[in-house]
Amino acid sequence: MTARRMRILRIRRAVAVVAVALFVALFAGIYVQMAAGRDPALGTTTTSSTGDDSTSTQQLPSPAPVTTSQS
Amino acid sequence: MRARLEAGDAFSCFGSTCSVFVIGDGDCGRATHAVGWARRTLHAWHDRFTRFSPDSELSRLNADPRRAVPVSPMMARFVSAAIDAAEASDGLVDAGLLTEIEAGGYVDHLGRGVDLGAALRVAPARSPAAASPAAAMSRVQVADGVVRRPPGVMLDSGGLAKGLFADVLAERLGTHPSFAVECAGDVRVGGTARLPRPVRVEDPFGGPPLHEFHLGDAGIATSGIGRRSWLDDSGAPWHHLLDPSTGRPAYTGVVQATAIAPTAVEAEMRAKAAVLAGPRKATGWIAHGGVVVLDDGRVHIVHARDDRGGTDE
Repeated sequence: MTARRMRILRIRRAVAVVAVALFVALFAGIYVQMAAGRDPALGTTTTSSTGDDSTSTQQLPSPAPVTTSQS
Repeated sequence: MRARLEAGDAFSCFGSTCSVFVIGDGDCGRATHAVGWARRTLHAWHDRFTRFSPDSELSRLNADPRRAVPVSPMMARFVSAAIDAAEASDGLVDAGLLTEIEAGGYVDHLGRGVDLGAALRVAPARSPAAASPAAAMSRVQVADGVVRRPPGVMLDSGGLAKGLFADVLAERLGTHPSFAVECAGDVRVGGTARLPRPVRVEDPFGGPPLHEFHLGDAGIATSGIGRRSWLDDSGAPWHHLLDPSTGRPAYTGVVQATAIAPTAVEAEMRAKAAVLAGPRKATGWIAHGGVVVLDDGRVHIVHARDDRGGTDE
């Protein structure tokens, strides 16, 4: 009977440790992503001008014009 | 094959409009993340540097009765830039004229401003501005995160801060293939690919763009008397570019100057100095390239030197 209780206790501990570890790992991953500026809520930015994903300079899109004016 | 995009965003900030464009990945992650980071950073700097909020760091510095005031690293950089601008412009560009500009009536965000043509018709006789013998900036120092100045000397962030903000953002955005930061009219462009980016110069009289430069890695800024203008209690026209020697608005014969320089804060200093110096000396302040507009609408263009990826057409 005692051996059975001990086994149940070990299993409960293992389940608790795994659950806590998963929880910490998940939120550590989210924290790292947010700290690096990869916030998925930043959906207000717009995109323009498509091109190829090659690293070649010739494949980059033409930069959009900007205007300098009195500040 | 995944598409490569130029991410961009335009938003209200500094009582005007700012925009940020980024192509490709870099230290800020993907282009859209870089744009979001730049936008958040500019808004945070606005809250810290606005003189229209008594809780901003700039307002607290200006109101502090101590001679030596500890400041944030970014405020220290701004004060250092303001000191450098005063020295480089022989005192023409003076960020220590806040008392005078507030006495003239510029104490809150301005609306549309006075029509430039109407203001010029009633403005005083034209004459070049000059440095003040008692320039406040000559008594301002910054070292080790502490600003030292006589209590009562108040600083105006103005265009110099906006140029500085564009330059500081460029320190991280410059690791992306291409970027542009337009900070309420002050522009910094760059990137590892050095792609020439069109930069248009606005007409102070409301016409089509006066000129288009193509810049790969440079700062470019415009200063003038057409915006941030108002009428005082007597009906006299005022604007934010003061003659340091009089503490009154400078009417020099130049209504707008655009300057190219290695950094946006230097470009801002050069553009301001060109307006204040008057028509005869204005082009001397835009040696890297730029545009000068006179009262009568005449436009002088100094073509960009191409040693930093700049050309023009």
